[in-house]
Amino acid sequence: MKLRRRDVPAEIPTSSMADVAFLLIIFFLVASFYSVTRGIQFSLPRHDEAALVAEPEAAVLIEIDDAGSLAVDRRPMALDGLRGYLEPRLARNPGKPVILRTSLEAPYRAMTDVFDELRQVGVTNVVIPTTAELAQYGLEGGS
Amino acid sequence: MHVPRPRQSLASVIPTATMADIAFLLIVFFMVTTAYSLDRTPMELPATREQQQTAKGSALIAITADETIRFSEGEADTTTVDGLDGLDAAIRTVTARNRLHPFVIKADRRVKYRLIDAVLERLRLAGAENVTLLSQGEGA
Repeated sequence: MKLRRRDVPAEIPTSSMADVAFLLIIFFLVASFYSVTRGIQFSLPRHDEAALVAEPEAAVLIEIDDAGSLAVDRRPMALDGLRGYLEPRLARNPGKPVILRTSLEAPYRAMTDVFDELRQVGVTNVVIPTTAELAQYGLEGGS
Repeated sequence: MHVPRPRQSLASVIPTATMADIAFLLIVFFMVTTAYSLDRTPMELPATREQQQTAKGSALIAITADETIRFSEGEADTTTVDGLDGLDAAIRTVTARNRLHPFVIKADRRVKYRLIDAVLERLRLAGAENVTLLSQGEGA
């Protein structure tokens, strides 16, 4: 008796592999969308005494009070006014240090708003002294 | 005159092999670019227009609105530390190995600056230099 030969197609079934692959794509898409990994970078000064004790006309001092209001070089100013105040000074000296001093009772958001605005204006030399650092240089009461 | 044609049988198959290739390329792309959050504590981050990508493997300091501090060296998920002293010890463990190790501060925008100031001071004293303040894009 002769056995009939069955033709088996030489094919690897790949349709389910594509299904799995697309599920993995969706997973990574969603994971990358929800992970917050961006922010404002800055360098903590190690021994930046020069900027802290700079002459008043050499550095711009920005103070944020408890309510989040600004005083730039001792004059009250709105956040929108920073650009107009800083741009001419930066044009003369692009590396002009800007000291950002925030009241301890102010919300963290107030500090990031100003820091972000400084970056938008193009300030590269932002100094954020800590209270202990200011005390170290005898500047805690205002420079 | 009727000419009998040989019957051609066309297999009804959609070629899916190349689709899998493309799909795997996309998977590799997303695997490489996805950085997993080490801290999934829900909090309101400050909004900024400037947004720079944090370095992979950065140590993470998370500060919630109720001033709970959590810390991760950059590989495992964050764990609660015992106040600022606990954070100080954790930071020094990282900077002792590598002073240039990047740090990320993920703090709720309502937190009082007093706590951020204290954290920055500890980072400064431990010799850390590269710090990123985590934020969400404006309008996000």
